[in-house]
Amino acid sequence: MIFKAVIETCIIIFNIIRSVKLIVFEKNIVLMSIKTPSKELLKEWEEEDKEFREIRKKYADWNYINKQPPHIRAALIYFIEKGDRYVAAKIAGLTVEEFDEIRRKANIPVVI
Amino acid sequence: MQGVVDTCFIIDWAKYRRREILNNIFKLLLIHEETLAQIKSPKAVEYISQLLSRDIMRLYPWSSSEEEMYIKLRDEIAADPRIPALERPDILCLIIAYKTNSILLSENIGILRVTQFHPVYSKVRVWTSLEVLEQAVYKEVIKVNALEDFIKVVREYEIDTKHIFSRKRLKEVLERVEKWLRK
Repeated sequence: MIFKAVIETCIIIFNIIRSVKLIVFEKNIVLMSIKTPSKELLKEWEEEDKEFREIRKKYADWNYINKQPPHIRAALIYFIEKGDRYVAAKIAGLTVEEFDEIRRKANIPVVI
Repeated sequence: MQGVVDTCFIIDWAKYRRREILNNIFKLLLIHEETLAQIKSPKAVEYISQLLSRDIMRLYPWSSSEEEMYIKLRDEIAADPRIPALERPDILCLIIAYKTNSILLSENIGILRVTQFHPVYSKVRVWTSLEVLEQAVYKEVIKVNALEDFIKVVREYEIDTKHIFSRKRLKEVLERVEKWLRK
């Protein structure tokens, strides 16, 4: 009688441990599949973006920028905002290198 | 040491007066043909063809399995507006670095950020030019006796390429270099 009760208790304990392990394991799988940045990281990026944008704005030669044809001006302004040379070059209809030469003339630094 | 170069990085280094540092640090630099196709200026083309002819640089043989990895990562990034936008050539470089366990040489903010949180691609080491210059000190590719010498090298890079390194990043690197100099 006592032996049967011990066995049943052991089975119950085993099943509880097994369930807990499964829950933890599945939770881990779920966590591993989350591929989004944390709130702290997003805040850090936001602050970094702001700092870098201010630096690009501060150094930019606005006189030169305002004299450019509309699509070049738009690309330079996009670059000041976002700091992405590749997309800015696409806006300007230029290669990355061609855009980079204009960026240098406009005195806009790459901030990294 | 093996590295993967992205377009903007190699364009900048073609303009840098101490560009030989790169081939003194890396035994092999990998480049995707789509990256190479974007290089047009005589100065950069000459620099890259020199690296290719000296077997320091090699074209990476892109495969269909890597194309699948590209599509997967592109979709993940596109689905989340909080993640900075990344263009195809940037993602290709990240995948090559991951597959070959190489150091990714890039100053693309989006790439740097993906490697800060992504469970798979956070394994990739990304060096900006600042980290390359830092490594050049440790490997004694550039002779530095005092921190001011290193700051001078960094300033030269900033002038030649019209870059500004963030105060935070520069402070961290200067602290590490200073510690190394004290040894």
